[in-house]
Amino acid sequence: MFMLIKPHTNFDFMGTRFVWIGISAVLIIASLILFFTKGLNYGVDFTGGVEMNVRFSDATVETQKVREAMKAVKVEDIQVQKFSDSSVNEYLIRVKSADEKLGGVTKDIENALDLNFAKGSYEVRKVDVVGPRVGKELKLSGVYALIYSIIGIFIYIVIRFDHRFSVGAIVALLHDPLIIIGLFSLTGSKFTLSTVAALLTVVGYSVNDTVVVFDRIRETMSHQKGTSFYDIINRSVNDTLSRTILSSGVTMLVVVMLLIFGGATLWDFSLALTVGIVVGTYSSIFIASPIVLYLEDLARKKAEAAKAR
Amino acid sequence: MFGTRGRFYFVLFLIIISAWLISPMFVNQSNVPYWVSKVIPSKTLKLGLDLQGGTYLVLGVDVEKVVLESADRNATRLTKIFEDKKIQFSKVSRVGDTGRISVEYQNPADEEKIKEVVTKYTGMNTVGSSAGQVVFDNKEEEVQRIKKNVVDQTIEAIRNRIDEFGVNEPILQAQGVDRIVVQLPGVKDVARAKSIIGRTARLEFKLVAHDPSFGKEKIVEVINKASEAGIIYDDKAVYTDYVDKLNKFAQGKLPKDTMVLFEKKVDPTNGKKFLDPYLLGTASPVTGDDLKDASVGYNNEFGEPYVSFQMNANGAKFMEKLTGENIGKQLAIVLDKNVYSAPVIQAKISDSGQITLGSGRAIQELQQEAQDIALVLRAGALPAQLTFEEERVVGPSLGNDSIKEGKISFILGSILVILFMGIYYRFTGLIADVAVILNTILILATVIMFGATLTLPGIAGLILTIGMSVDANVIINERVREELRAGNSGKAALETGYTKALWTVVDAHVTTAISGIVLLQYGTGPIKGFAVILLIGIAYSIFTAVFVSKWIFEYLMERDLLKKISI
Repeated sequence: MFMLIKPHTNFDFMGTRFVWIGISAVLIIASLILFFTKGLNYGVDFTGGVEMNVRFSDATVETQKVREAMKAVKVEDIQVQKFSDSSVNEYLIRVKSADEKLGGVTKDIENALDLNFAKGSYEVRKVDVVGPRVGKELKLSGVYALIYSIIGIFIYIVIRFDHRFSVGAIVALLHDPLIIIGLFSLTGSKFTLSTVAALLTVVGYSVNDTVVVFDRIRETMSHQKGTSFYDIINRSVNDTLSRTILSSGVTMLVVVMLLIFGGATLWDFSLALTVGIVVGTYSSIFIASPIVLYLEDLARKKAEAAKAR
Repeated sequence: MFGTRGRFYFVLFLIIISAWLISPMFVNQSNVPYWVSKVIPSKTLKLGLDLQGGTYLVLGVDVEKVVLESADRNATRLTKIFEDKKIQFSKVSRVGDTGRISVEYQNPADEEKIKEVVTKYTGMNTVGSSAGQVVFDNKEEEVQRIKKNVVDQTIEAIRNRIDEFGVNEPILQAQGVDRIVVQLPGVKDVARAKSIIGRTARLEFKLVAHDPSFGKEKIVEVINKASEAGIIYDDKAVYTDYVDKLNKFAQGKLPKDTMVLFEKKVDPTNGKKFLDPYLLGTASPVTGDDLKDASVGYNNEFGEPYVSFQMNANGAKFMEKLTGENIGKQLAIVLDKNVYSAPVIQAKISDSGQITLGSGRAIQELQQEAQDIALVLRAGALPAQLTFEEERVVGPSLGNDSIKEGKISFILGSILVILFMGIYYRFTGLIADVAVILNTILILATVIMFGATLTLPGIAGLILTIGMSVDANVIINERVREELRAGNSGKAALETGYTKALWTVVDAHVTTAISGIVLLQYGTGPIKGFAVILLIGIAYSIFTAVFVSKWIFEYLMERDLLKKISI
């Protein structure tokens, strides 16, 4: 029998809980600071504007040359960026603009390409044009979607567990997307519709780990009446440890395949998922359960204080 | 229920049926022996635009303007009705930029009569009145009905145009109150598609106003005054908006019942584009509504293309009257507020005419424009103006690459997972593998059966679902291992393990499902494809992990094929 975690392992997860909560608190604050100062590198989905992927068959075409060519396009802010994938000569041409008449810009860009490069030597692989009204709406509805799914999950947890657990789950739940957002801000990775989809998935997936641990805590509580809550939580986290690591590991395996082989289109999506699974697993062990313990302690102290009076 | 044997066969049946359903994915439909094409289903996996290449457009429909126009129409109609019924009134007009109508009158005794007539003929309600004035507004249902009608009619008109343009399986859907989503698989020439879809194609015939006291200089004067007031036509302005603003500004500054429209011209000496103004009557005695047919013709002399059109009987009648009464005057042919030409009426014309496209441009360009105009005229005018709010184009090469990348990630991910499960849990792992594989083919079979589309994020969803489905199996297997360690017999360990793990598995899946449902509401296009696969996957994941794998176990144990659980 292969075993990742030996049975009856007993890491004292709860003993170091303040270290982990401290680390997470620092990370979350850092994420919030990054988000409010540096902000996110929003894709055209949210800013509105034009994005075109153009691939050249001629390897000698360089960024500078494409930039020169784009000078003929009469818009204020046009960016040319080479794709990091070095096996192809592909560029992202981007116009951030809140202008209503964006449709014409793609035609202008194609005309400018035609003027400077032989027809057939380049190929427009993808065009995204998002009007300012749609951009704003998508951003807003993205935020709403995130809030709704957190509320939905919260309600489910409240129904299935009691409030101590709910608070722990919700903190872990907020913890994960916040850290992903911080990471996207730090690295300047593009934040798109797919990223929001990934964030939502992470919210659902990460709470799944948490729920498994909580289920076990509840079960252990029911047949180990005399044991302290501290030990029950420790025992439960240890008991489910092998499952937590195994399933996160396996999901990780497939998501990493997506990250490596999924191509540029899925990159933001897979990145957010990969980070999400790591952070989600961490938070369900080191954040959710300690918070339950903390709330339990708080409740007990209150009760004792009341008794002493 | 069915006993272990029955359940086992049910699983086999499921595997066979779904394998049959997804079989078209693996064969080239056009290149199989006849009997195979008879045996496999004809429905195959539909790929999203991001995989097969194509154009996705979101169009904004200016429904608010249509409500205003409807108010204008009502105002005109009411004026006539009041006159017919000899009801005294001083003014019927629309209230600012709203759909409301105000009726001004002198004699207070007429108020009730006015209210009665307005409600009877327009269905509008009184929303306010002061001395000498009553204000009416549409009922909310009526406004909604007008808007919905406009969107439906627009969809219909666009569908006609796309059909003529020749696109395979276009999808047109209303989104919200004032948007239309258009999906055009395979279309790469977006500029052309947009010009065909977006053209309002409102054809009007207007008499050119010849007012000797109001020559061209005076028209130009008004236009200049407008530009001083900030009404300018430049690269950023939409022509029809400019014309609307200009004419609103020019009200009272032009002779009664006239308006200014332009012909777009090119200066032959320097090649610059400019607008040549015309003073036209506001009335359009004949419009494109009465058109029968339109086609492209060629001018013999230079081979320049033009659009020729035929009116239907009704149109011919109006046209005959109009031209017969106005011989010697100029008649402007106006398409979407652009004057295309303004020939002098030489004789009575009835049922046909031409739209010339001007000169100074490449013949090819003219030809395409002529074809497009003929097409949109045939297909019918749009009831409202459109704006392009979102446009996404995926070239076929990117689509192909995405399919390849999706396949590789999917296959590698599955192999890794299957191997891992087999090695880590041995025989039990193999049963879990069966569950995972069944889960995947069930998802694909469902997607095919319901005609849903597979998008690139959808493939990602499929891959993620493999992870989730394994997760369920891991939860159960870890539980069974624990029970075995606690000294339970194989069968008892299996029974308790599954029972205890059931709720954990459900809890874990429900939370992800909640996110999936929200995503389904929020997402558009490809993202929606992800949510759909995720949700289907979650449902099957519970089913395959909790029931199917257990049924297989029970069958094997009961038949003594499995003496000891290898986990």
